[in-house]
Amino acid sequence: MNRNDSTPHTHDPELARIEAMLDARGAEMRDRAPDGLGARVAIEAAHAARASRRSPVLARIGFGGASAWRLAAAIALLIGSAVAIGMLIGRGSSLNTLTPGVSDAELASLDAEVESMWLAVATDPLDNEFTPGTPDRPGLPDTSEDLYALFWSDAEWTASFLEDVL
Amino acid sequence: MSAQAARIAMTAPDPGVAPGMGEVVDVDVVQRAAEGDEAAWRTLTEAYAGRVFAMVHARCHNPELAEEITQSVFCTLASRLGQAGYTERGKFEAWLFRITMNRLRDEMRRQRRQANPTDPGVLTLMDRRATDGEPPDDSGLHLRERLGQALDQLSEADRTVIELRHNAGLEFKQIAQILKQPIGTVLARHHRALRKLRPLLTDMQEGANS
Repeated sequence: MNRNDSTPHTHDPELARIEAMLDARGAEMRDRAPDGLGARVAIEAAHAARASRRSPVLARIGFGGASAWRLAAAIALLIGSAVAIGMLIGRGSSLNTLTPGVSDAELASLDAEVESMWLAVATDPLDNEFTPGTPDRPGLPDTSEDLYALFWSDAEWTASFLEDVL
Repeated sequence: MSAQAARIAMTAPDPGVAPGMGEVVDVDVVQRAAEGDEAAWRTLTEAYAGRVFAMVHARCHNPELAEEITQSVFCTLASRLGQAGYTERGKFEAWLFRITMNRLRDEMRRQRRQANPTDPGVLTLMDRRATDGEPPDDSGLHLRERLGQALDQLSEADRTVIELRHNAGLEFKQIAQILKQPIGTVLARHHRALRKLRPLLTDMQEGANS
């Protein structure tokens, strides 16, 4: 008890007596506090202070009692998981790409090269009747029957041709 | 801040107050408590838990509930200290008992919707008297009972001042801070409450004697 101010009723003995009765009653009420109340309250209060000090938000979502290293480990785990998922997604998208790391210009150049190769095959000098085709000259004559005849007429040549081409 | 000013409680106990309760709790203890130091909290609860309990018990008449409320008061205090630190320098007690009053008000509001439990101590005594045929003793315990009954007849505002003064053991200045009233109002209310108690106690005394 830390009252320093004196009672203003000391001049009236009856009021002073009532005050003394009230003080005695107050003391009795304080003495009725259960044993160990202070210790129990101190433990809970210390815990509450630490929890609220860490982070009010974390305390509210139930992490108030967790130690610092546990929180750090949980955060590191979350970051690691996010990075791993990001890498997996990145790798998956690379696998699904037909020309990884090839620019559009290189792709166009490669396309043109393949086209010219095809035309070179199509203009094989063995077939004198075959007219070389170009993109500017559509409607090339149908030479499928000649090729069919050629393939079946000389099996040895056909085999070597296919070996070269394929 | 001087060492004297840094103290949030005073050393000289009031005459008529139990000796040994004039604890000194300085700012350092409160700051350590804000950091969650259990020893600091023990110091604080040794100084104040009994006083908070007395305040609460006088109203709710249930020791278990009073203990629960006392615990929640200190947990609220701890949370606020932990979040914002101790900012109300020199007003720690007023702050603590303001939290107590608010918590008590909430509890009383809740209890108004329910039946009030009877103090188990009173029930035990009534039971003992009924079984042992104990003659009525009108001195010690019944004086407290009469005082309790007389206090029940005071207005809420008068009773609050009396309880803060005599159960919590606060100064009038601190009571004025808690209730946010001028100190003159608090002094007048206290004086008026004592004058109201005088005839009530006299009537009860006469009733008991006749």
